[in-house]
Amino acid sequence: MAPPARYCVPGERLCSVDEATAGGGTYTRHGFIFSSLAGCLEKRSEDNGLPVVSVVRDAESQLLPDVGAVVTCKVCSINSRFAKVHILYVGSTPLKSTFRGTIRREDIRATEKDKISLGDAQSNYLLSTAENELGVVVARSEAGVHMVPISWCEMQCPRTHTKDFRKVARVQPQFLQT
Amino acid sequence: TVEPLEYYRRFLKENCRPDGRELGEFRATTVNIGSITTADGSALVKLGNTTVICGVKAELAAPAVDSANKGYIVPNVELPSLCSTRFRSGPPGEEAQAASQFIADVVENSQIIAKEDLCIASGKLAWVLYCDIICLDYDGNILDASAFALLAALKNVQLPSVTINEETGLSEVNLKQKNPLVIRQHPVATSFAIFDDTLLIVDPTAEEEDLATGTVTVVTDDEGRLCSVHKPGGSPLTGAKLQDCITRAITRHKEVKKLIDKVIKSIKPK
Amino acid sequence: MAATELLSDEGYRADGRRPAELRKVRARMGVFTQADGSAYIEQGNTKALAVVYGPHEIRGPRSKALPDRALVNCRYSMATFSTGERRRRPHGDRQAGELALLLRQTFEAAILTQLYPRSQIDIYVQILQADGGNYCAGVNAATLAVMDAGIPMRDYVCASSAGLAEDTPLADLSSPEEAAGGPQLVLALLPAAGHIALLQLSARLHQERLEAALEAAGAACHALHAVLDRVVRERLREVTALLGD
Repeated sequence: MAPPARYCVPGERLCSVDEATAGGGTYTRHGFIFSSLAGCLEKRSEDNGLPVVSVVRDAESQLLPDVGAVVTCKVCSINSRFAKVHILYVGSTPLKSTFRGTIRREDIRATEKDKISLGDAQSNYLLSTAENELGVVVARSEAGVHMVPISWCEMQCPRTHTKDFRKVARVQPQFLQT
Repeated sequence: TVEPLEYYRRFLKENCRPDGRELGEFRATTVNIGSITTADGSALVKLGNTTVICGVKAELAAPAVDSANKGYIVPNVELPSLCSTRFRSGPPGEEAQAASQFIADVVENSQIIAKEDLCIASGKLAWVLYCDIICLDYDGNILDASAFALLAALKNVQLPSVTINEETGLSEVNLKQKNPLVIRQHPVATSFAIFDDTLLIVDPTAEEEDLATGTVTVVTDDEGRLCSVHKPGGSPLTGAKLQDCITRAITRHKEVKKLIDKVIKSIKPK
Repeated sequence: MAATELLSDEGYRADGRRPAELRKVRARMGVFTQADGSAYIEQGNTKALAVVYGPHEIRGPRSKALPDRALVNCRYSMATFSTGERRRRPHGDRQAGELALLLRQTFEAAILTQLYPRSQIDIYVQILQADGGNYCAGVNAATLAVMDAGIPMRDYVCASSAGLAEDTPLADLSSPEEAAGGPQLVLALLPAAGHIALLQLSARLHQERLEAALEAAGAACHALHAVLDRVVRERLREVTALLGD
C-alpha cells in the first residue's frame, strides 16, 4: 500500500477556500478549510474547477438512512394500517444499531412511488415498496419453514402448500446473501 | 445477518462457533490486580471482550444485634449504559439486580470469607466490605466475570489493623500496618448457554446469549464441591447434561485458580 | 493544607511539580468493543474512561428529536471506589447532573451536530479513580472517544484546572490542592482557534489575578493538546498499519 499522504486531526487547517473545495470530513470557517475527522488527507482533482479535499477514516462510521435509499428491514409488528420495521441494512452495508421505520398500507404497492407524502414532522422513516425490485425477500410460514415465491404477489410454503399473498421483490441472484 | 439462528446452527453442527472457539472453550481471560489505589482492593477482569472492574472499600460499622461477632460483605453489580446499548440509564434493571443477587449468594454459600474474621470487637465494631462491580464492556457471561473479579479483588484487599483504645473506647486505625484478608474458599463460576434444548456451549457471548433458549451457571470451590447451581428457567436439562456441566466447571476452576495465583505472585514483592 | 503550604520555598508543589507543570498523562483509544468510540486517560492518579455511542436513533420520546441537528446526551459517573471516602450515590446526585450538563454544552459546541439531524450521540464518562481534575480528565477522555467514533468535530476539546497559591498560578490541581480551598478555575479550550468552550471559577478571586490564572490554564490546555495529538496520530498509524497489510 502506498504510504499515506498525511494524517490530519480535527481542527487542523488544511488550506484556504481558494485552493480547493471542502469535501467530506472537513468544514470551512473564515475562508479556510479545516479537518473535522482524525484520518488521512485525500485530494481528488475534479475535471472542472478546484480539487476536492476530504478526510477519510479507514473504519466506517455510522451511516444514516437517507431519502431515496434502498434499505433492508425486518418487520416487527403489523396492524391493519401499517407495519413497523427495523431497518437493518442501508444498501448493502449493515447498520450497527437498527433504526425504526413504518410502511403504511397504501405504500405497499406495485408502482407510483412518487406519490408518498411525508406529512408533518415525523421522526420516523417512511418506507415504500413501490418498485419492482422492492418487496418481501424472506418469509416464514406458520410451520416455520421458508416460503418460496411463486409469482410477484404470492408465496407458498413447501411443506404445507398453503399460499400467502405477499408483494414479492424481484431480487437479482447475486444480491441474495444470508 | 438476517437469520442469526440459522447462521449459528450451521456452525454448531460442525461443533464450533463463529468466533472459532470449540463448544467447551473459554475466551481468553486476563486479570489485572490493584490498579485502583483509592480502593482497598481492586481487580480488572477481561473475559474475551467482556470487561468488568471490581473495587472493594472497607468501612467500620457496628455489627448487627443478632450476629454480634460478624462483619458484613455487601456486593453490588452495576451494568451502566456505557457497557452496551441494551442497558438504559436509570435505576438498576433486572439483569443488574439478578447479577447482584447471584454474587451475594455466591459469597454466602461458598463462605469465601468467614464473617467472623471481619469482626474487630464483638458487638461493637466490625468491618463492612463494600464490593462494587462495574461492567465496562458487555459481551456476555457477566456472571463468570463478576465472580472472578470479586475473588481477585478480595485477594488484593489489605485491611489496616484496628485497635480499641481501652480508656476512650474509640477505635484507632493503624494505616501503617496492613493485613491481607483470609480467603477461605475460592469459588469460581462457569456459565453455559443451552441451544435448541440439547447443545451446551460454555462462556456465551452476548449474541449467543440472545439466541440461547436457556442458561446454566455452576459455582464450584477448591475441593471440587458444588457451591451453587443457578438455572433461571429456560429449556429443561437432563441430569446427565448437568453432570457434564459440573465436570467442565471443575476443570475451569483449576484454570482460574492457576491464573489468580500467577498474578498474585507477580505482584508480591512490594 | 493552608495556601502557603501548596508551594514550598523552593517553588515546588506537594507532589514535586513546578507550578506550571502538568501531571503525567497516559491515554489509549479504542479500548472497548461494544462502543462506537472509547478512550481511557490517566492524568497522574486520576483515571477516567469515556465511551461514545452514535450517532443513532433517538431513544425514548420522539418529541425530543431536533429536526436540524443531533442530540448530545451525556452522563458523568464516579465509581463508588474512586474517592478516599466511599461515595454513596455514583450518579444520582446533583453534582453529577451538573457536570453532565456541562459536558453536554461543551461538546455541543465542538461536535458538528448539523450533519446528523434527528439522531442522538451518547457520551458516557466514568471516573475510576479521582485524584483532582476529574472533570477535566473526563473531558479529555471524551474528546479522544468522540474522535475514535469518527464523529466530526470542529477541534479538540482540552480541559485543565488551575489555581492560585498566593500569587503564583498552579496548573492541573491534584486532589489535596483542590481541597485546600483556594480559588480554582476549570477551563475547556478548543486549542486551534483558541476558543473557550467552558470556564468555571469557584471561590473569590481578584480580577487582576484572573488573567494570570486563565493564562496558566490556557497554557496547560495547549500542553495537553500536544499530548493528545500525539496519542491520536499514534493511533492513526496503528489503525492504518493493521488495515493496510
